[in-house]
Amino acid sequence: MKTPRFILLVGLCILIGYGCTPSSTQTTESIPTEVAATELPIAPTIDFETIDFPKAQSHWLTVGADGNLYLIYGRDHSLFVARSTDGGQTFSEPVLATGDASVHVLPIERPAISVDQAGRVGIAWLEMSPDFNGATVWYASSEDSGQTFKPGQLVATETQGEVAMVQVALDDAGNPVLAWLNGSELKFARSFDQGSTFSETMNIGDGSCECCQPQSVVTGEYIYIAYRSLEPGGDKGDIRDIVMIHSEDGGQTFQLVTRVSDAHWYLPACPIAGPSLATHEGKFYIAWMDGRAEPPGTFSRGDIWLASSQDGGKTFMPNVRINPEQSMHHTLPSVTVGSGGRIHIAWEAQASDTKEAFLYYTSSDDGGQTFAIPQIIADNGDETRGNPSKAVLVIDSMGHVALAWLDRQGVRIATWADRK
Amino acid sequence: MRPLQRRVLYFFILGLGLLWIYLSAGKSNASPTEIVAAPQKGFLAPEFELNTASRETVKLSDLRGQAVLVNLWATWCPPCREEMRSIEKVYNEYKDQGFVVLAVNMTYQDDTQKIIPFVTERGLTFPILLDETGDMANDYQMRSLPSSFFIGRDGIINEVVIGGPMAEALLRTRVEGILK
Repeated sequence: MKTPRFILLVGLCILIGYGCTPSSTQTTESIPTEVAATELPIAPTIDFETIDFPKAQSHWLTVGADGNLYLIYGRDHSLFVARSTDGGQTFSEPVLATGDASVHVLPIERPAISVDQAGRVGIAWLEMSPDFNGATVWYASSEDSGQTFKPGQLVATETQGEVAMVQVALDDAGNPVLAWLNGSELKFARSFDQGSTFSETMNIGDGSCECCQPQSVVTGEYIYIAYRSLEPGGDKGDIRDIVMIHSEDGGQTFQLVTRVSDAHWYLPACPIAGPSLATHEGKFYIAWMDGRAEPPGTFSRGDIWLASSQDGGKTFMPNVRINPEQSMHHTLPSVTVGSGGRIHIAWEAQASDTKEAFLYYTSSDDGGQTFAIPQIIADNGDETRGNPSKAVLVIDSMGHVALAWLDRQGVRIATWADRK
Repeated sequence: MRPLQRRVLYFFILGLGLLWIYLSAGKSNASPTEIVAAPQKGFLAPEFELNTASRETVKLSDLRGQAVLVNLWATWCPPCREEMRSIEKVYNEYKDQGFVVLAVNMTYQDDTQKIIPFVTERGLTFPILLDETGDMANDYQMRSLPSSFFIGRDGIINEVVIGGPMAEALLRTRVEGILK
């Protein structure tokens, strides 16, 4: 009798000790226990459609003040624009918007586009000097919702320096407001005649991270620009926090910068990650990545943070971490706000111990205090596409959510209807 | 329960356990998650094979026995640009002792037209490799630029430096560390 009992004991030990233990080679759990413990709401699984724009090398997506969706992407030193009137399910044939200009197209730089209520489309781009020291800044517009574009208008000539990351925003009258970087200087110019002529270039900030894209918003006479600052931090490296600068007189003068991030993140390197800025009913929401959880000067992973302002950008609330998972590297968030005030955020993440990469999406119904468990919209399971990166998330007034990202094949856009 | 029935039951349970083991093993083999060598101090440097701008192929493991600095950079990255001259100087000082520099350009995120002028203007003589797909950057968990990996003659990473520019004196100390 002893032998069978021994066999039974061994069998049970095997069942409990081995069979029930997860294999060490299983995929890292993407939703950690920390989130489950806080009982955050679980959003229903998203059922989305996708549409591709092959060979695109850079991209940006925006909802115009006319309610339509506009995609701009860079390819072979040109910019192309396509419009969707059905929330991103279909797009018009892309139009070459930059004529024979030799546009500086770089995956880390997002092409600049803005659309006003009348359907006027404004785009901006850079043309590099032959020796790559200095560049010219250009603007072009379309009066027919992006079907045809006027020839480019010279905005500024930067005779020297590393010029990058141009941004454009149209005011209510269709006047373009531009911002760009020259090294660590934040430059600004605007037009009062819908892009026929431009003001003198102003230097509105001396300490910007040179490799991080700023983002701007125009509301009436108010101009807001969020960017990653660059402050000397001594031996521990530069401090690369998120700040916002604004003007209350249409760009004639700018107020002192407002600190958005409370991290004092030291990094002696280019993190290649600017902030994302959204506004809704006078409130501001800024999302970004930083690696504050690590010792100063080191950087193996980052988290996604959100800060909101309820007083027109004068002060920002404490930072809220968005990604519950804290072993992967999370970066490059895109934030947008729906008409009901729901906050939507998408970002990319890379595993630390495998080659896995994901594009996450989540939303908040309480002003950003809590977020639903993030859902994976894309991954790098298809080797021909590689990592999904550089998410751009928008939502139109009808509740159509569109998420665009870049991979080896080009730009892919996923669309779905926002839950009620 | 009779002894024979009991014995059958015991063997049945044991068989069930063995079947579970078999199925569990089969499941993990069916969906393997590749574990890559860690780009961290004390670990074997992840292997890569990349082309130079002149389309020659360089494989990291072919350099075993030499001390290697793998430097990840891009033309638009200010600290990367700043430290290149120091790297070139130190490379020339130590290359006869078996020191190799592999400067891996993040080509998938860079302007390809700027790479050659950048190298020519600075008179860089060490190999400039092109990561055109981002695979190497993925393997080395590139989060920011520049990122430098000092690899010993045994292929083990001796030190990882995030950011720059690296001071010449510090660079020398690190190179001497991996030449030992």
